Amino acid sequence: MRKQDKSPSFFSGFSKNEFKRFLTYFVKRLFAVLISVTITCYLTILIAEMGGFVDTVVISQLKDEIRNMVRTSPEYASLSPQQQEEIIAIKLNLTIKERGLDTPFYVRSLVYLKNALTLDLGRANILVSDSGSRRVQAIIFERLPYTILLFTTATVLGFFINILFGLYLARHRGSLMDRIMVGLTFLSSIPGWFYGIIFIMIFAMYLGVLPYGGLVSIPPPSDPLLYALDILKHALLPILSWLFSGLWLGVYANRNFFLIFSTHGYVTVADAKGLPERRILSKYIIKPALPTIVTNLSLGIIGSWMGAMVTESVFNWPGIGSLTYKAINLKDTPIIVGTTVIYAYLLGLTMLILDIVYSIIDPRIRTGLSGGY
Amino acid sequence: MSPRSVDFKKYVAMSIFLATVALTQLAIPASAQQVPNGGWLDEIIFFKENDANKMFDLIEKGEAHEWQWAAPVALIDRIKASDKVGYVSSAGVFYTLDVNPCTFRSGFNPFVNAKMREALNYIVDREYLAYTIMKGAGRPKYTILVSGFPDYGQIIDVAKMIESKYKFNLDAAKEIIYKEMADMGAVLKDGKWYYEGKAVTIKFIIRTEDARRDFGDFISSQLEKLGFIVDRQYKPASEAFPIRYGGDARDGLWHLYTGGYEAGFDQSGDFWGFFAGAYIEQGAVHDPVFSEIARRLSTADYTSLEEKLTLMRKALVMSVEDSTFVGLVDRLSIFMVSKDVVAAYHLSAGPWRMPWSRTVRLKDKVGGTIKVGEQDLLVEEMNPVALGGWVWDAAVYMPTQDYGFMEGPYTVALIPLRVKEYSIEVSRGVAIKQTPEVKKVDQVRVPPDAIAAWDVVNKKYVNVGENKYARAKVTLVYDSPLGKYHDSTDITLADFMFWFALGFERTSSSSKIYDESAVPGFIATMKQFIGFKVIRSNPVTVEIYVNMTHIEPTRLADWAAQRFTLSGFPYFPWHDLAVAILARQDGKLGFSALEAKSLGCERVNFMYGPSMTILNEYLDKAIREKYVPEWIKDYVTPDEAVARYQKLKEFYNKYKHFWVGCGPYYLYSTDPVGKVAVLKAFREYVYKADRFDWLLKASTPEASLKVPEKIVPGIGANITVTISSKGEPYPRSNIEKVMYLITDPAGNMLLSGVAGETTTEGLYQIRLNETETSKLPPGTHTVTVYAFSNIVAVPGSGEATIAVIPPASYITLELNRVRQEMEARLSAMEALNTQVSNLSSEVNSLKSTLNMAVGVGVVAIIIAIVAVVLSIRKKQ
Repeated sequence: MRKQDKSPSFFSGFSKNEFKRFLTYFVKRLFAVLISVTITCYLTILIAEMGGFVDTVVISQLKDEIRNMVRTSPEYASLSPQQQEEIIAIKLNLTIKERGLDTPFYVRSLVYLKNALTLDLGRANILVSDSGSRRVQAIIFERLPYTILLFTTATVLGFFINILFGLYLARHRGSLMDRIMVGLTFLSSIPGWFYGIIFIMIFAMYLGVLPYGGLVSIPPPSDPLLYALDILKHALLPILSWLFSGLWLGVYANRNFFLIFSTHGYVTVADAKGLPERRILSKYIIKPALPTIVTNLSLGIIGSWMGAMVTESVFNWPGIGSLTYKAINLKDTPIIVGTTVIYAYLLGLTMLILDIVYSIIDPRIRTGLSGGY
Repeated sequence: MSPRSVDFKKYVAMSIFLATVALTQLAIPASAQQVPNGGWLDEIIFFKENDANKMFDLIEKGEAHEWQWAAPVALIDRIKASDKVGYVSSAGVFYTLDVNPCTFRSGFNPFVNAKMREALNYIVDREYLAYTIMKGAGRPKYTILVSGFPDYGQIIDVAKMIESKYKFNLDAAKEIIYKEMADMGAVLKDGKWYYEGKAVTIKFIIRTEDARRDFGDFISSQLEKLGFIVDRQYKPASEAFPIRYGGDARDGLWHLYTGGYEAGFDQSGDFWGFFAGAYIEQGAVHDPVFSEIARRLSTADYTSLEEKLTLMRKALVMSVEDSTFVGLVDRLSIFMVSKDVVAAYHLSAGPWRMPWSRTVRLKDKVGGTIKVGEQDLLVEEMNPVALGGWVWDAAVYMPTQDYGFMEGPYTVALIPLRVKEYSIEVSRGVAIKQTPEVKKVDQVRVPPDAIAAWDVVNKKYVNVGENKYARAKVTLVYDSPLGKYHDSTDITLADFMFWFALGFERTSSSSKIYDESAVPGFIATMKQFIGFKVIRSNPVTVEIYVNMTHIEPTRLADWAAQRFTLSGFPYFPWHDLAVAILARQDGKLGFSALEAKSLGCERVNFMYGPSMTILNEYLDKAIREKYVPEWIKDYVTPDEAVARYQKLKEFYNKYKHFWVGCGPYYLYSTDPVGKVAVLKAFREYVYKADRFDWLLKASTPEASLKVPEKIVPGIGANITVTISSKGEPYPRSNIEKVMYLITDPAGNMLLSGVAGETTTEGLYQIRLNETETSKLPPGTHTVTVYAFSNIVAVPGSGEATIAVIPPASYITLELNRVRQEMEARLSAMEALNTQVSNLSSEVNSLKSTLNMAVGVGVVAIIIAIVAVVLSIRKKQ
């Protein structure tokens, strides 16, 4: 046995040179990801703040709000107009200070960037977490589990349904089921939130078997187990709407994807040899498609963590999507930057992990590393 | 009989008895059932739901009872058609056409000219905006005063005159605009205006989020008909605000803007805020007479209510002539409410005021649960020191609180809540409504030992000192007993005294709990505070000396009460806040957002969140150290303090929060993630649930008129007015006055006055004397009557048409009438004559017959006599 054949089992198939090349490649990728994340974060800050224009918008909104408040408040009714103007000016300055708008935008943007890169997401300007904290981290991570419960569940479920069904149709091309599913692909053009509205009308309004929306019943059960079950009950309709919308196109896309592999010569030969269907599927179709499948699943999961603004609004679901929507409306930049940073880091990390996973599962990729894959 | 059968019989009898009692309870109407302490309801559940259609369904199905947010216009028809879903409406938000009155640094602004601004009133069809575009979810707005609000009601005569005068009339606008534009040097060429060779383009910022988009389109179309080019800039708030409010009006970035504002009940200051004081730093010029009137109104520079109303009448007319803001629509917020729910709703704030929680109940039922949807819930940290402004948070905490006075739902006057009685002494020359509680004196001397301030450094109260005078003295007597807080601790004088010094502690840089953000508001309001003196501790009686004045006595009393203690009554116990003070001193929690940010810690939230563990930790510390804040050391012993902390501990262990109030409901639980808050009735509350039920009976008076067939100038006339409510006469004691206006078809006012009372309840007389009727020109006119109630600010109205005929016509008519009468009589007489003639003939014929009969009779007698004589002669 050659020395290079005695490599550790985890990196089975890695030669010494391959491992060195892989490591170099990995470090370069890590560096590239960090730069991408930095640029992404700073661009997000610039866009969220509109290059500093948001300050002008927020300050003029504050002026109007404070003026209205002082004008209609009985507490200040006895003051002269001049005194009221003084109060307005002082309150405006204090609020500007509270929101951090007294610091010039470009200085603030660098502070946001530094916080973002160090994952110290800071404090929100306006929003408060449901549990009452101003820390951006607390605000985002409080919402994350509910988003995962809803959208990640729907994404994972949908993923496996699409794979299995797509595979089946690929192997039964031209069948009645295949023709029906292909014909119904257009149903995916309707977004999930729209199906959500229809499902609410059917299941909540007319049948009354499922709730209209929200996280829990009113009032919520005090028993923790019942509370958890209540949440699951409320998650049913949004998951269904999301699944239903994505099903048709997902099945169709996977069907076509697996068709490509199904029509390869080696699959035909395997068919001709009379190999069991299961073996053909696992060894000749799924295995070569694995990198793509893993990539889709990984990116799908990461994407699901960002939630969906409209679906969460329709179902009154307290997820990341509705949080982002609120933050955009209120121009609470730390929250917008925070959600983007988390997504950017997750995406970068996922890509790095995928690179490692590819090189493990696909020897072609390992060998091709020297060619700059 | 076996013992078992006896027991069985007893059991059956008891069951029947209990069942009968239960059935009887069900049968007894709610009003006859025992009135509980606390709220009518057992439970109120608030939850977040921001979809109006969903809420409509939930209310229709009985799964929810109310939605405390304005329903969209598109849903109004469904609401009105529903059997289960009712609604209440409130005004308070209004839309205006904001006009830039400044001279631009470059470019032409035709609206520098006040006549041009005034002309804009004629191009707006307010009825179309309110009834067509907004489908009735709005009222036409002609002036800055919100129609239906107390200020509008007080000077309704002038308001109606303005509404008549400025009705939609494009021709009138054209006449004014053409003349003024020409006078300014503009030239009309091919139907378009040019100034110094350039086409006059009006930059119109049109808000897009609501009906203002359609308003803007309508107004733009009218302006285009009048020869202007309109640059319609459709913008949401975020883009519009920097231009409209953020920049300098002289930059010429806008001419017109579709504004939306909120109105307070007292709008007397709006003449300055919206008109005379608008843009003056940017060189805008307003009528100096108007400016002076507006200034006097905003600084309460008048000596009586009558003088104030006189100033307001003038200001109202001049504000329309100024037209820096042109009224468009008073928006009505429609709140969906189940028809099974009754409550008192505020004229402008709807359910978001205290009377709602004091009166809300299920119809004909004691107890029960209602579910109330809110647009959002549990948005901001809840602490009584720096409460947030979100209405949906207020909906949750208000039922748990009690104040000294609460806002009445229908009037400017406040209603004493925890204050049992109040009296006011003001120095002569101070303008205030004269009520039994108000007394005018030569001087209001402040006792030297009244407390003026809290010395943060030396930790002692500072007295007012000698020779101090105030404009007003307010004496408050609080109800006794004071009752308990929700954690079962007694409300004491210490709770009252706690809040006064806290204000000084928070605004002094020498204090450990200094908060920069608290300073401006505190200093501004304390400028008019002189001092207070506690006269008695049971009942708590306090005299408060202030320089602030208000035309409405209850408002003055409330303002003074709030300088003395939290919201006029310490609805939050001192021992609860003391725990937070300890945490604040260590920098673990901050009261305000700015404070928390500068300390790098969380903001105090007594309801939920990370504050809970921190407060619990400091509660233990307070117990260990027997902590009593310095400023109430004279009112509480350490052992008393510990006893209170122990009660608070029990409360926290049971309910897992620190929100302790003293209102009719207490906070039972919150689910900040699920956005649900549950309140339950506090049955140890000192008052009964029906305490404010009279608010439900208060109604706007209805007026109907009975007019004479015709009125003649120079001849007196009487018009009978009936004031009623739901078919019953409106109690005279609740009517302040019944005013009438007589207007011609063009809307010009001819006569106005006050109707006189009669001896019959609900019946009034308008007595027009000869001089008054002689002022009425011939034609049909409208008599409008306004009945002002002292329990409802909105006046009731009714109208009728009268016919005024000229004297000549009247005489002719009378002559005709007399002639007709005479003719009728003549005919009657002729008929009589004929009858008489007939009778005469009859009589004559009778006479003849009689004569003949007499003649025959005489002949017969003669014959008889002759026969007798002859017979006698024959015998002889």
